Amino acid sequence: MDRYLDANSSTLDVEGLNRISRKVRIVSLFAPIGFLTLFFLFPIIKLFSKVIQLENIFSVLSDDETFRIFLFTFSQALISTIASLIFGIMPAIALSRYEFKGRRALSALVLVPFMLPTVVVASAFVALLPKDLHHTTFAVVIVHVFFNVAVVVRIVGLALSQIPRELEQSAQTLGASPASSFFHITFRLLTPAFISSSAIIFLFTFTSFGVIKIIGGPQNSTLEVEVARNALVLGDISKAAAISILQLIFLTICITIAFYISKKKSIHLSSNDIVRQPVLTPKEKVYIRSVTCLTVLTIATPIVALVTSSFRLGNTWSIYAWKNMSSSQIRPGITTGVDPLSSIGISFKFALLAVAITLVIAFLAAIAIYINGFAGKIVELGFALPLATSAVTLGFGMLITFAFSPINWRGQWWIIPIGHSIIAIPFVIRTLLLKLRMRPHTWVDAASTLGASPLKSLWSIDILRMKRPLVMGAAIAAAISFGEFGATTFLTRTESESMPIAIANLMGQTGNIPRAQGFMLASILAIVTGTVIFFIEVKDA
Amino acid sequence: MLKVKKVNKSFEDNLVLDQISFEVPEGETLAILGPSGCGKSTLLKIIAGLLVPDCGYIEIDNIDITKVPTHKRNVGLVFQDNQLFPHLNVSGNIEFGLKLLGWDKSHRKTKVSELLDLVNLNGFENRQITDLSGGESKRIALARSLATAPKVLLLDEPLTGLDEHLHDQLLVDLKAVLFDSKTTTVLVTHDKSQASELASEILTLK
Repeated sequence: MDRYLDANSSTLDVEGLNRISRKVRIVSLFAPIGFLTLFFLFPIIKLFSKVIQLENIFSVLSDDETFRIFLFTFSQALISTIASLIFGIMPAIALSRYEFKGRRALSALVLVPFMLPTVVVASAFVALLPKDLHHTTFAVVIVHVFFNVAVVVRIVGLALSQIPRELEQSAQTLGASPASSFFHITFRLLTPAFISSSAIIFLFTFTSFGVIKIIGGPQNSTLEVEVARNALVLGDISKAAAISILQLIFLTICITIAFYISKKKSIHLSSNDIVRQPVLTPKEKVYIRSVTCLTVLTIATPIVALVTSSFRLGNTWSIYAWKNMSSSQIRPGITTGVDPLSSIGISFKFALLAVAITLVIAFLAAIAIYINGFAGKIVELGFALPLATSAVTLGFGMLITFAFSPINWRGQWWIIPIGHSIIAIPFVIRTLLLKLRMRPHTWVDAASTLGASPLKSLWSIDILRMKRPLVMGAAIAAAISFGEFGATTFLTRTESESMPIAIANLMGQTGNIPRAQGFMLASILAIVTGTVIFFIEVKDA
Repeated sequence: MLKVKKVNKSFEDNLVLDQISFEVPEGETLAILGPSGCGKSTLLKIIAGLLVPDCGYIEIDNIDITKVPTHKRNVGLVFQDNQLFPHLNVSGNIEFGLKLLGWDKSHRKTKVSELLDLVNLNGFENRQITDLSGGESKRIALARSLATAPKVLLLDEPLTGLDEHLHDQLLVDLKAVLFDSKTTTVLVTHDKSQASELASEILTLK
């Protein structure tokens, strides 16, 4: 989990690696660059080429309906961002400033929602919230906050733990009340962390897709939903592409500005050992206890509501959904068109291939980045691009790219796990590089004095240490693949739906049976991803 | 005048301060001497109000301030590592307390340059905190604490961590500052000669 949000990757001395022959180094770049170009850069370029006529752009820009959708997308993202900051600051303070029993468990728990699939969380809130709150902006914001509090706890919490308490105490000896010293000193020093976490949350919520599809309803459409509607329902590819590209440009500008300001406001703090203080005063005890209780309740309640709802059929208790897992029939002759049981098998098939592809490509890319100088930096940057691209944009790009021979692959099932791996690879590369770059360089010296060739020492020192981060990477890729919804929407075919697609489909239907089956399937997906996330957290600790 | 009466403090069954009592007359300096870990810093934090004693009293000018919160005590504290505010420049740091007292800009400016004079750092107003040396940081921290004319000034290891040349220079200057400002001062140190150089009285903690 840590790797998801850590922005900095430290480069340590990699002397000795430049003795690896030039040929080996260049060859190592082939596979990762080839994969990235074919399955990511090419689709994005294709998307751009679809809107090459400026009139497409202008017609979208002057379209009132699209502008209305843009306004909704923007305002819900803004409200979600602010609300996440407000709700995130309390647990961030508790977890970064105090040492207490259960702190580690709590800080692992806080990060869980962020990794749960969007369709699971959205379904859970459908189960939890009363009917008249469904399809409201309020519901959308609540779900977004549920996801993104983790971002605040992680980024603001980390910054907070590096601000010495003595700074506030100094302010107090100069006459500032505790509240005013927090505001004048700590709050000011947190500005860069607030800005960067806001930027990330804004990016996530602006490009929200699965949540909106399930709990937003038709009147609360985001640009992503509009792209999907134009491309898949109305068949207006050029309009969909134009919206996609405009969104990409708009978000790039926003993020660039945010990171520029954040960098400008960043202040170097000399102290960097994190000292958490014990909980002493009664006030602090109340604070820590209420944060703990509220966090556990907030995370558990929707999940409990989800599982409970899978045992309801209309107004009665029933195990119908769990007993008829492979039934798509509602009544003889009427079908939901979705077979829940087979979607589980399909999701596992996708995940298996996605994990395999991710591990191979991420591993090759990490090694290539590690042993190459400048070219490695370019590859690293290239593989960071998918992070900034929404899943819908990626899926849409792949849909229109792999439609002609000799690469007419969009009908092939394996194109979906490839899409998943494009999303997972950046995270896994980070995990691997983190380990590679922690190479203790006395080991290299020792190895080379013992007569090891550079390649041999790369193998024996670096690659053999990769087992743990590779296992971690496999878990990350699996978690992403199981939950992926945006890109899959574009590439999926009827009768081979993955779990998230099947859930969204069932939740979109009326009637008690599809609902119950949707909740049942979402519960299973929650359990599957929950297990994987738990595994990641344990490995990470 | 500062009075500390029968102060006790323990952390989780570990008694750090046991029945500590002393008095510092108006304008005098007391040095508290002792090895590290003997509770010297804890004692300063209790006088500043950052920690609450288990029992005992703190009095300033015969008024019991044991229950008064830090920001209303008017006690200056210079931490061992200074704790200058990194987002403010030198004058921003020094005038922090004056702003809270509602001083207007021109008065603050005059006072800041007066204080910089006192600590021998004329013209340092617009320097960034990150550009200061260890000795300069200490002087600025001292000036910041003196700005609000505290009734008691607390110095935690004021000369630790400086190299020998700076150490001697600052020792001379610190002595002059304490003498000029006529502030009642408690300083904590592990260095006997430093203690006898700066203070009129020495209290040894075990």
